[in-house]
Amino acid sequence: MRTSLHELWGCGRGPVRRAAPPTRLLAGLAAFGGCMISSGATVAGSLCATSIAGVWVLGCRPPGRVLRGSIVLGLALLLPYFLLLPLLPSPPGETAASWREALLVPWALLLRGLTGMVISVATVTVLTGSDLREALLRLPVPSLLSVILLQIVHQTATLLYETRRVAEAMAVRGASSGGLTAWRVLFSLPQVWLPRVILRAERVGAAMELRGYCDGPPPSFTRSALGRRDVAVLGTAAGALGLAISLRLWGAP
Amino acid sequence: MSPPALELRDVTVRYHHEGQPILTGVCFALAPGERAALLGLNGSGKTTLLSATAGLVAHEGEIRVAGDRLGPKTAGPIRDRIGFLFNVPEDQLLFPRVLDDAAFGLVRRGAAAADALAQARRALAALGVDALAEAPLHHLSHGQKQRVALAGALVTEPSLLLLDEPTAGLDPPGKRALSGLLASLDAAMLLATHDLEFAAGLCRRFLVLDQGRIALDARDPDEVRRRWGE
Repeated sequence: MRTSLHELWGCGRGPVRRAAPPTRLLAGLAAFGGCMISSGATVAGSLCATSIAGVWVLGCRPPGRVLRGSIVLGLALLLPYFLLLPLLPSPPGETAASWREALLVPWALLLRGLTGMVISVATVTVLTGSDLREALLRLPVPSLLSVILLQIVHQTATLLYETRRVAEAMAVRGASSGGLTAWRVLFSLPQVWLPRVILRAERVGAAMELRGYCDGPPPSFTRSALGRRDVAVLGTAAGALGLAISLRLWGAP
Repeated sequence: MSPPALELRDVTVRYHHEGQPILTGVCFALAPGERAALLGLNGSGKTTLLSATAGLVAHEGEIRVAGDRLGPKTAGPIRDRIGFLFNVPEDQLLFPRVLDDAAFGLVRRGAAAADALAQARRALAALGVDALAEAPLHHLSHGQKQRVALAGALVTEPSLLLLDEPTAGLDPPGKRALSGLLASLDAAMLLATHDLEFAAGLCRRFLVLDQGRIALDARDPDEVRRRWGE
């Protein structure tokens, strides 16, 4: 079933998708944690982070365009840090060692940022809205946090659809054709758009209150049993996290 | 003798403390099972009256549902007896899957998930949208969302239904089906609408709001038509 999340991100087709929703979320978090813990200062740490990200991507098999998009976005956001090398407290000097030391700072940012982004995107592609709900409900997450998180995801999709409708209205009314009119519409848009979003938030809040959405723990509609696949996925993710921690604690400096 | 399903005594609502009231001194009562239409021009206060009845906006005066006075402490239990349809249905749809949303009211009241889902399927079927049970909400048209929201409101078999523009976005067969379904229910209902023909087919009482006051409380739809024409 394609739901709002999948319409935004695309749908992963890897073997991880057949694991239970809490397994997918937990394993994704473990993989993300492994990459964040891995040290970018060592070859082993760098290899560990990229391997974790690579294995997770293979397990989730996100759509190619989504993967490419996230890599391009990550590179666009993180590569400019290399331009800051001359501004470091101890800028690289003449020797290769000082250059290497200076390069490690933006390299660590790039490594963690890019692998974290790729893992997050891959995880989202194997979780539908219903899966996310099920995962959060079965993990020890405070119920208030769960309901708020789920509503944020649900309403974000609604707002994106509304944005699409506004864009279509702009196109139909000739506001997308460029020129002065387009700029005028663009600048007046927040004055129209923001009150609309606030009013919608008020109405959704009223509906949540009326339907007792926050009165108790959020309801669970489906229960998927954990199987051997879940054990394998969780075991691999835990192993990767353990390896990253070990390399960080006892690896070469 | 059982108390009225809904009773409003001298109810006034204002959104700003010093501002002009949206509703002024509204008084009426609905007997159990009575169906009344709430008519009026745009901005006459229909939606505000329904919202006040569900305790969503502060009011002066007295609102009672089945004899229980609406207040901060009683709002929760009273809402459990009310089925509410918002005029923008997508605002009240809180789950990514149609079936989950329709079943939510039952699960919240302690029903087992399997029973709730089965009952939700029946409610969706009664409104002709059971084929959409597994569909993501964002794929539905306005009329389909309207029916799904209504299924969520009806599934708990409330004793009082507050429906804000229930026919908005429905095609003629949808309107007929809705009218038949609502007529088959035992619940008292107050439906805000501009659709006088729909209201005349379903209701035996017509309350006309004009600038926040009940301008007409009639049993004869022709009388309303005459006044509406003015």
